Amino acid sequence: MRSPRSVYLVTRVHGLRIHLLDLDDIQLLAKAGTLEQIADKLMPTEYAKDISRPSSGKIYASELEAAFLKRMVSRFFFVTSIAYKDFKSFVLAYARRFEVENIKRVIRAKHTGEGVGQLIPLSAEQTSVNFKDLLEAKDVAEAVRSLSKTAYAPLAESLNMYNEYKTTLVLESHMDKIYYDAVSLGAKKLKDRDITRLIGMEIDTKNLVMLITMKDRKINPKLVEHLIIKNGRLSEERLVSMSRSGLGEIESALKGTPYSEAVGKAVEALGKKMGMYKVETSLLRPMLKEVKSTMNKSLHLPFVISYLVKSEMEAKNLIAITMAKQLKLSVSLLQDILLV
Amino acid sequence: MAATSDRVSATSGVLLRLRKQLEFIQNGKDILEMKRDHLAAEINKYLQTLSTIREETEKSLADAYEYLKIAYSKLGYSGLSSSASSVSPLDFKTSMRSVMGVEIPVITDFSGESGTADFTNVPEPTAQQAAEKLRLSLEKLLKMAEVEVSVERIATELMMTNRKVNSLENTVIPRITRLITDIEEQLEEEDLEEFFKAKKMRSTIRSKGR
Repeated sequence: MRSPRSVYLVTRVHGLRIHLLDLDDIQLLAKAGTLEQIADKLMPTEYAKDISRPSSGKIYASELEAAFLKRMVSRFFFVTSIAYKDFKSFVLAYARRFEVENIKRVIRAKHTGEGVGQLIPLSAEQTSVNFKDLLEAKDVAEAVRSLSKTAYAPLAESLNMYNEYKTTLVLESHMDKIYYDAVSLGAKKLKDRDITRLIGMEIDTKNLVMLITMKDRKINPKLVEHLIIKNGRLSEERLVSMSRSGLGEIESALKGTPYSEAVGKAVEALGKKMGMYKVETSLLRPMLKEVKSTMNKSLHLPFVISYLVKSEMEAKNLIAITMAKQLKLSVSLLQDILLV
Repeated sequence: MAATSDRVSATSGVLLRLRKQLEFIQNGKDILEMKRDHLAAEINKYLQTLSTIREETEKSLADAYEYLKIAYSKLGYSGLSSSASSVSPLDFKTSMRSVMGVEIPVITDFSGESGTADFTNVPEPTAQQAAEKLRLSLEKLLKMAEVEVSVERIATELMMTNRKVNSLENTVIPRITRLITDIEEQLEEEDLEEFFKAKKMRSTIRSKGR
């Protein structure tokens, strides 16, 4: 029997779901001629609070991107504020993905000494990391050391490997491992099969994108093996064995899994020298399918997670649409990029 | 002593010096002609590749721009900027090659000292692909710049050499040749005058003796 708090949370999220843009809205925005038209179309939605029309009337995609990211973050943290007990811990762990992305951005910049650039807007309450210290770090090692009092302290263990391979991919994958360990642990505590499956599929998708694209980039298999994230639905042994084999073997190794068709399409896209976005979009399909089916179980907690995934997808789609409009990308290419 | 129209003393010494000068200038002209031919051959070689390189560069840049647009759309401005910050700025080395004394640039190493053209570090596959396409375009762009600079420098040298050859051929050599001819004629005239003088003196002496 579901607790009243769980019913309350799901009901609130049902209310929040109404604010998400549906497929028709996304398609309508994709067909808009200018950024100003997009901004106008978004005025009756939740984004109206975050989008400001300057007196000159000229809007830039980067400004809209910041607004979309701000809305996405606030949607996530609103759910964390109304969640309870174990589910609250889980959603909080899940929402750490923005903090993880920001840390990765800082580390990348410290690696080359370039400027950090724009970060995902997070308030002090929405992060466990002191970004001021992190940003002031002189190099990667100092940045990693500044995380010693956070959940990302184990990152220091990967510094030797970072120095050996001279790539931040080592640190980024370690960040992902720390993040997904916490999320998987939170999911296990909930004892909800659907949530565990959803998180497992997200990890699998990340691993498959990494494995297939790294194979294509001919990256050292030892390094690829190190980048594998545990806790997915596919066993670590299976992924390690795939990291040592060719693309064709990866395809046959995944026969009978939900990823079989998607991997086939991704390998075909690679073979035809199509864009990497095709590979990524193909590999994302099984997870999107899973999110859609979870969205139908509307009276259960997985619905909340699906809502969060959908919120993130919406932000990504809106960013894609606005960038595509500013850069005059063709509508057909934009349709291939959209996560629908 | 007679003088030519160019105010040069018409003496055998001057004639000898002018002949040597003419021989030297002729040799110089031959060498300059050889240089001109070599430069023309070199410029032809570059011009043949230039149109192909231009076409390839334009195509490659259009292709890279398309991938860059996709990467921007997929990752957003902040996402792609962050991916780009994981790679150091691209670097390249140049050296100089001499073609008949004309220094032309040669791009030797595009990746630079630290091998910065390595995009392993780029985390996002879409960004990595765009970066690879851009790197290829930049390589082509640099190759095009190398060829264009070479063509420009060789063309300038060719023009100068041609001017020198023309000036030698049409002004200097004809002038010296004319000078030599003038001096030769004057010397011949003087010789003839001397001969007649001697002949007249001989006949006067002979008539007085009778």
